[in-house]
Amino acid sequence: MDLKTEKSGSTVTVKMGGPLTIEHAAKLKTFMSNVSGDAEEIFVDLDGVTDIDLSCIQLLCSANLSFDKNRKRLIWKNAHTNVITRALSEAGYTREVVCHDKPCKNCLWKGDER
Amino acid sequence: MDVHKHAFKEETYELLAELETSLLELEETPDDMEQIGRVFRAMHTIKGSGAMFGFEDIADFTHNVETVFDKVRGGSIQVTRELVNLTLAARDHIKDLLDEGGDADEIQANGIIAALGKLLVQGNPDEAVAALPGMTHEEPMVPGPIITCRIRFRPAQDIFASGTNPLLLLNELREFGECIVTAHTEDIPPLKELDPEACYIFWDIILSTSQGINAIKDVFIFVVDDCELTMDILDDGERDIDGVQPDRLGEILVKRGDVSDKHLQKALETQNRIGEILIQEKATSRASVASALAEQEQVKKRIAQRKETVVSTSIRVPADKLDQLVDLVGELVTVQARLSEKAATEKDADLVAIAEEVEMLTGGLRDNAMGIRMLQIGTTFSNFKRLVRDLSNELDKKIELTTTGGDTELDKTVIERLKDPLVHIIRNSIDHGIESPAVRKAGGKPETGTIHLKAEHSGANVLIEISDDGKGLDVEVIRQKAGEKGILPIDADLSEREILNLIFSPGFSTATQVTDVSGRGVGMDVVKNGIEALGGSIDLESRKGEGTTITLKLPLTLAIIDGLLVTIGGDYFVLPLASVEECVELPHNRDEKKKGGNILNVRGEIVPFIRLRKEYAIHTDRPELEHVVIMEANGKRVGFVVDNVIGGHQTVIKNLGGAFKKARDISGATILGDGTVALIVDVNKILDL
Repeated sequence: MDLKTEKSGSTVTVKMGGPLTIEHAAKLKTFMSNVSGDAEEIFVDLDGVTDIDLSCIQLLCSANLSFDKNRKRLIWKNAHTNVITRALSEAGYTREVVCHDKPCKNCLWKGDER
Repeated sequence: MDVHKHAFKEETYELLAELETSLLELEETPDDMEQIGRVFRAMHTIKGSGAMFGFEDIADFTHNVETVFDKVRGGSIQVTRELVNLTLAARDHIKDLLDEGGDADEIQANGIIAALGKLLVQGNPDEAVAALPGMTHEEPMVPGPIITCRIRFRPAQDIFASGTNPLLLLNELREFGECIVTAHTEDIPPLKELDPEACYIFWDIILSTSQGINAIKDVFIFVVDDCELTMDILDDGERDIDGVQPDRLGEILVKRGDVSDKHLQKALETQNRIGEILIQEKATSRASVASALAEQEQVKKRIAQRKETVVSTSIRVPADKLDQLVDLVGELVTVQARLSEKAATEKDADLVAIAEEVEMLTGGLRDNAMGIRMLQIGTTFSNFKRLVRDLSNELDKKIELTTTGGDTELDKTVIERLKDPLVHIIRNSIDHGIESPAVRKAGGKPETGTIHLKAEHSGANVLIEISDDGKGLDVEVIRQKAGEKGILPIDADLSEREILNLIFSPGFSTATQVTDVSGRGVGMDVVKNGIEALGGSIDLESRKGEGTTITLKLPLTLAIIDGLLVTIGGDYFVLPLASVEECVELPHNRDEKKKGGNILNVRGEIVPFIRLRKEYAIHTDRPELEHVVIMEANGKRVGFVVDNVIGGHQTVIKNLGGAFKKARDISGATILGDGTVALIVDVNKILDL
């Protein structure tokens, strides 16, 4: 797993690469917990992700929820690659369905907004 | 043969025909998941039923192809021309195994398996080893009714720790049939509380499958003790569906335990969209509503599909039983004719009324029985796609086969006997008609040539047109070749159409080279004989450089035809009514020894006539007034002189048998109402003689 961060003003851009799989889940959790700092907008670019499993799908979902609760914007970039689309489809993430009763504004699998 | 084995063979032949069509479609649209699914399902069914009915060799061999197409479905192997070629070869091998009962070419089979194995290695090296030959296939599952069930699968939170990937279980279910999976993500906590190695997601699955509930349970066999698993059958595929409506959304949510009845009643009182209200009330999650809607939709769809199936239910009947039915109907038509005749002679009003009723019912029964034997010609057309593909590859030509009128129906026997003549014509088009891509390009034509097959009804006949946009026929070359072969005097005065028709002469070929495909001069005369044996005719049009069109005119059926009953010297004859154009009188006082004595002037048109009395060597005296039945044959109007024209007659065709095989100008016989035998005149043969 490859994680790179760039900060510019109140914006943080995270570039994720390689496999996002259960071996890296703990590291990914720590990274996502600390990445925002005082930034208000966090861009997460998934273009380099070569594999993603259920543990990391739910971790990204959890990060989305946490950022939303903390009134920060998490914006997904390149979330429609074959790897991500296929993994979400296999996991049964119906495009029209969002996670919670009060849906996150930037839901990873809300098709049209990806 | 065991009746089940026989049924397996019949069904497998049908599956192989469908498989060939799907593969050829797939070659043109390699990303078509529907076709990929069709190929996989065909292989899966052949394998499963093969093993079940003792065709182990077929099951083992087919397993290899099925494995590859499973990978194609999964996206790890792409559809390529090589894969299509191999699968077509595999399809042919399976057919050989079926035809020959296991004596097919084993070396060829091993070659196919090895090549498929190579594709697997390229597609997914890790899994290839398991899929290579020698691997035993799983026990076949007997397909049952399609059930629709709802599954809630909530794995234990520590499922990842045991090395189990729940998504693999979901994928396994997807292979069973139509499967809608909805993930519930509402239990995923914020990052702070999240254990990254725990599973928080659970799923609702709506599955429609013929595999049976036990097969579904087997998927979860290793996790069932540590997870929450509920399965409810929504539709067992067998209960009466008349008037059945799918549950409403609220009812589904209550049945699932996602919403209490109390909450539902409260929500219903507000008269708004029930799903939104329940979510707003926090009575259930969005995923639960989405999943319930998916269930409602799926059950609705299944009910609709089953209703459709009920409507179009068909039964399989052996062809010989249909032949027997038509024979019996033929006998009935003959007896009915006798009854009608008797009633007419007796002049008994009651008997006449009964005879008329029987006549009406017999007519209905006859049409129905003949209709059962009717098949669409489209299936035969599809078979030629493979022929065109393989031969054009062999000859390095680019040829596309297009078809129209595939839904035109013809009698089963006509279709079966039409196949060989059509193969001859299409092979000729490919070999001699369509030019090589370079020649076509140089001539300003598209590199890909087209052969078009068209079928349409024309009265009691079906016209089948085979046209190509190739180089067409050269009238001068045909004239010259015919002269060289002694078919025609060099200076014979023939029209262009007559010269073109010389290609139907025995031994005629304009090909300068004999190829594997055609050019030996055996073919077009066989085609003509084949079509005429079916009671049809063949016509040809061609323009040099533009292409050739061959038109076959065929009767709808061979069992019963509409005939025109005539008499000559007290004997009865039947002329095919479909070719009859009109009847005129022939005065007795004509001097036929004079030049032009055998020619009639019908409203300014010259019509030659033939005396059937002379053809059939009937030596009785001619009546004062004879009749000429003018018919259309081989593109010409020709008259046939008879003594009397009795009228239309439903002609049940009976074969004359081997003793009369030399009677070339008679195509069969029929029995009249009083038991008299009437001979059926073979008009085309008389004109050839």
